[in-house]
Amino acid sequence: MNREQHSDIERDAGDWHARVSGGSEVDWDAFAQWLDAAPGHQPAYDRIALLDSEVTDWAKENGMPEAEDQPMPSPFTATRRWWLGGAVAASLMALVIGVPRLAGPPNDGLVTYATARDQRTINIAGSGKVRLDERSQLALAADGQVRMDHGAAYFDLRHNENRPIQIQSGTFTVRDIGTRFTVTRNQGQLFLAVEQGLVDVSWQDSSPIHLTAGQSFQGDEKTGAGEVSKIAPDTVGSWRDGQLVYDNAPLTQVAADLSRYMNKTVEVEPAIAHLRLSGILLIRNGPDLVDQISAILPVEARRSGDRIRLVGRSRR
Amino acid sequence: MAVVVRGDAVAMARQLPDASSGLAAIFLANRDRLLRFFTSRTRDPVEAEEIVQEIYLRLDRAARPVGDAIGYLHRIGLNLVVDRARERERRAARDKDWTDSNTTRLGDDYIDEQPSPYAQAAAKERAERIARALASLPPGAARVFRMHRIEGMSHSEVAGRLGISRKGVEKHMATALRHLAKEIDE
Repeated sequence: MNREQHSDIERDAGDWHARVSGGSEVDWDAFAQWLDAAPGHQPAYDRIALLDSEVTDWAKENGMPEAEDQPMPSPFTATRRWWLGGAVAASLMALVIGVPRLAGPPNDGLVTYATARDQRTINIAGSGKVRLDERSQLALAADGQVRMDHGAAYFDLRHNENRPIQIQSGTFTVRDIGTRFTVTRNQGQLFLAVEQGLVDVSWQDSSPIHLTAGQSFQGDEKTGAGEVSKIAPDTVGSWRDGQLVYDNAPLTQVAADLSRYMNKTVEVEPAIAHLRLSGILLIRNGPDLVDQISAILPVEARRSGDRIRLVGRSRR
Repeated sequence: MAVVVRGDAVAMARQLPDASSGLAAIFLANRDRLLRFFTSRTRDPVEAEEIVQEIYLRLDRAARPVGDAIGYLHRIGLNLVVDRARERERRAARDKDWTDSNTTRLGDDYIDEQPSPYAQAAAKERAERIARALASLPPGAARVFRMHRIEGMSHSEVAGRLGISRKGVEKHMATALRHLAKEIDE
């Protein structure tokens, strides 16, 4: 009994679809016969037809990644560019992995973790763990590189000589020396807070700034401009316990945290951006957080569509 | 949104002008055959019926029959199958996303239309997979895919431009599709 292989069915489905979508004459009866011939045929064809449609739409909108025309980048540069995101940059990564690439899946071992309404703990084999806050996302590569996409993460790491952990947050690179710290990335800003140990942060190719326990850093991805402040170590990553503990925290940092829990972009009116918040907010549910802030600072929220803007509360 | 007209083929013919000649006539003469074909294509008799109705509504009834009228009719239907399936997928994903991200809903209307960061992240990851798969296509397949799908050339035009046979173009497209399926959906 000759059993059809899955790969044979996929190949035939591809052949049929290439012929059918080509515009030349097709034997429609023969096509229908093939579709009916075995249970796996029609679903395989359906999958490939849908995928073709999706990929074609994407390629029409974004253009075909032109693998041939790109100059061969150095591995480090290509990796860096890929971290910055963008589908075209991703095609450079494909070049670097194994050139020339004719077949086989890219095996960079990159796993993306994204949370919705719950926090999540992720193990980094041999180095420790990461607690990812709700509505946050990061990616882990097999070689210990971490890409912070957005939201907040609490890192609890043992320094491992063989696998130093490096976290890319936009244009900032955070390097651990065996520490506990949080990385929050939101709207082109990095917030770094160190509970224990030593952390390096650098912007693009600059020399790193060293941070120790009880220090925090806020930086702008576009300009690299940043500020180091003090923070009470036991308040670092307080969201793990359902609280936001702020001690003289800039309102912009508060807004970055709020956006996770309210699932909207939270902006701060420039006129009040200098304000600082000290207090403990309970992360019960999103909208309530603004009320808690209004009780402490002269601030209120204006909602429009999917944005919330924190503005100064007008005197009545 | 087009209204699906139910009823038999004769009733449909009476409703619209120019039904006695051209594409409409060819459609009516082949309606049963189209229905059988799309039943094989979708494995859903109700969907197949709706597809066939929709083909009729989309015909350019004023046009003279094209060279391969039968092929033309089949292809309209095949595109419809894909469009409808993708719309169903989109709706299902949207429903699931809104349930997961705890947004407010009033009857059938969603007050918060924004996809959750999770959905946005998933979409971004999908886009990256697609980009990588396209970038890693073998050069011949990539070239044919670009000319045929993005620049909209027919198989004959691509064949002429590249100096290969139509069969060769078909083979490159099949290679491209196989590669994409493997890289994106494995």
